[in-house]
Amino acid sequence: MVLTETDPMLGTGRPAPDGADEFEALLRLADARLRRYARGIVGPSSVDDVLQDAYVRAFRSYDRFRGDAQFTTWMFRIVHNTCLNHLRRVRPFDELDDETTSGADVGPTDGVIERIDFERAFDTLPRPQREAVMLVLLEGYTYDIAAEILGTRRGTVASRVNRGRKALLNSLTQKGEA
Amino acid sequence: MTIEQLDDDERLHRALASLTVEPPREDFWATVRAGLDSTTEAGTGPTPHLVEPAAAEMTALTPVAPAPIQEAPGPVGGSLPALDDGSRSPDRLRFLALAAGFCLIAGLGTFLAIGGERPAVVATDIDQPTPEPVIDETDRGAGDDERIDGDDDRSQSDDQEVERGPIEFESGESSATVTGRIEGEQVDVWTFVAEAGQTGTVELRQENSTDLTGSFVIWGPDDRTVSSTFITDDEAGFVLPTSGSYQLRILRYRAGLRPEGSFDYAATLTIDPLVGAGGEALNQEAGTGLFTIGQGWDESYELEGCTIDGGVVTAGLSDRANPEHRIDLVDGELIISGGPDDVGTAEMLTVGPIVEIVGELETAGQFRLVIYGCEER
Repeated sequence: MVLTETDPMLGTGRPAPDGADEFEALLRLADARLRRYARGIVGPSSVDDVLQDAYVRAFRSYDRFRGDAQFTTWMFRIVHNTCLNHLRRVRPFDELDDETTSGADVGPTDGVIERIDFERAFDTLPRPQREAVMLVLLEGYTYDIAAEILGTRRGTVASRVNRGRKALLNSLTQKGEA
Repeated sequence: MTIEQLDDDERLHRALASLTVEPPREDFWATVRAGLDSTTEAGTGPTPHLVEPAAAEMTALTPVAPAPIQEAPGPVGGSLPALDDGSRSPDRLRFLALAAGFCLIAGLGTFLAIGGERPAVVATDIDQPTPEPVIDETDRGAGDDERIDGDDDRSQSDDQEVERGPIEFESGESSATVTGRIEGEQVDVWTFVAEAGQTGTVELRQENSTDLTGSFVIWGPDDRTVSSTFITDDEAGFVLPTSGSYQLRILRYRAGLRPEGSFDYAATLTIDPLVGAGGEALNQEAGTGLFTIGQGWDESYELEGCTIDGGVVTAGLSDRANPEHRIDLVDGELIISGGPDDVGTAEMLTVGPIVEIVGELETAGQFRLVIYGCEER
């Protein structure tokens, strides 16, 4: 097997899977990060189903991955889109998940904070904010790359990160002061 | 270390890394493998290939041992990685110990809840509306894009953009190379103007890289990604969707977590001149570009001003809408024929099949007609 990644997290260089064995090996390397991201979007109960779908889709379309950069970034985009497809199937009639639907601009309320921890505060964020926060604050992607993964604009990502960041910091602070 | 010494982003990073993620189901990888195998048997998997020269060259610059391959372990949450540590292997005990010390010192005992004993969040906790479309025009014009509220933002809202100016093409040339150096979170922004439907490619070469993280992104006039190092639709490059000013942005991958890196680069942008419908070459100097199919199933267009000299011709349709189409290039004449009988002209126009012509006309000896989906002639 030839793995060309120079980044510890499957960063630079096109992996060279000669078949299912190698591709599976690459997926296992990236699985922890992708699993955490998928959990942030679809929730824990659907992660396995979404990832299985995403991994097979990725394998089928691997020829279209030019591969002169990050395999994991490419996988993030596939997982992201697979998550959205999953959500559309399970909740096709919900309203759009815009930035104002859950009041996350100001963060969870004091009363809520008393009974939730950071994880619940995170899950309270609108999905677009969770996506942006995960990619930028956890995975360390720049706004440009995060925007690419999410299929939106850099400014939109920046806005979402800032809103989510404020809300999450608020939850940490209030929890610390409790 | 006290909590005061941790900046907000590191606190958030740690807290996010502690989110509970269940391990894969017992049969998860077996199911994945079955899917991969079935794909392989169906002949739709990736074509075995060697490492591309560019990738191999980049690897040679700074060899780094690949991460060890290991089974995806228990809950992902609970790791306390260094910010640039990609492994983040789950280690809940270690996390709890560190988190406890972390919080005791700070006098924030309740912070122990992060990563502590708590039930996994159930699906109903994620009670968000349906996602917006992947390309969400509804997201645009909402007025929030520029409302960054960045007073206390210490993350990456201030990527250091450097306006490098327009990319200048020599007369008659469809390619131009720009060079520069990227330090830390710097983003070099080059601009160019193009017409809707033009095709292009970007070749990014980097030297003296400390971490091999150079990448590019092309933003359209509406600030949306057209192409990048990471995502590409085909080897032929990108198709510019609208007329206007584009940005070629050169940056470091994951610069936010690795602010000390740098690299020199040389980026070659190729924008192919348009070729108009009916085969009339709009630019005879370097005639690569788009060829739009008109109405009808059996059509032929004479490529005026085009010479074919020892070239390679492949055929297909860029939108893959009608892969049964046969496209022949005979004596300078493009002939399009075939296709299912139940697909009419109207649908053809609706899906907007585009024949892309990539190569050189007259001025070069090789001509490549790249139309996706069919075999090379």
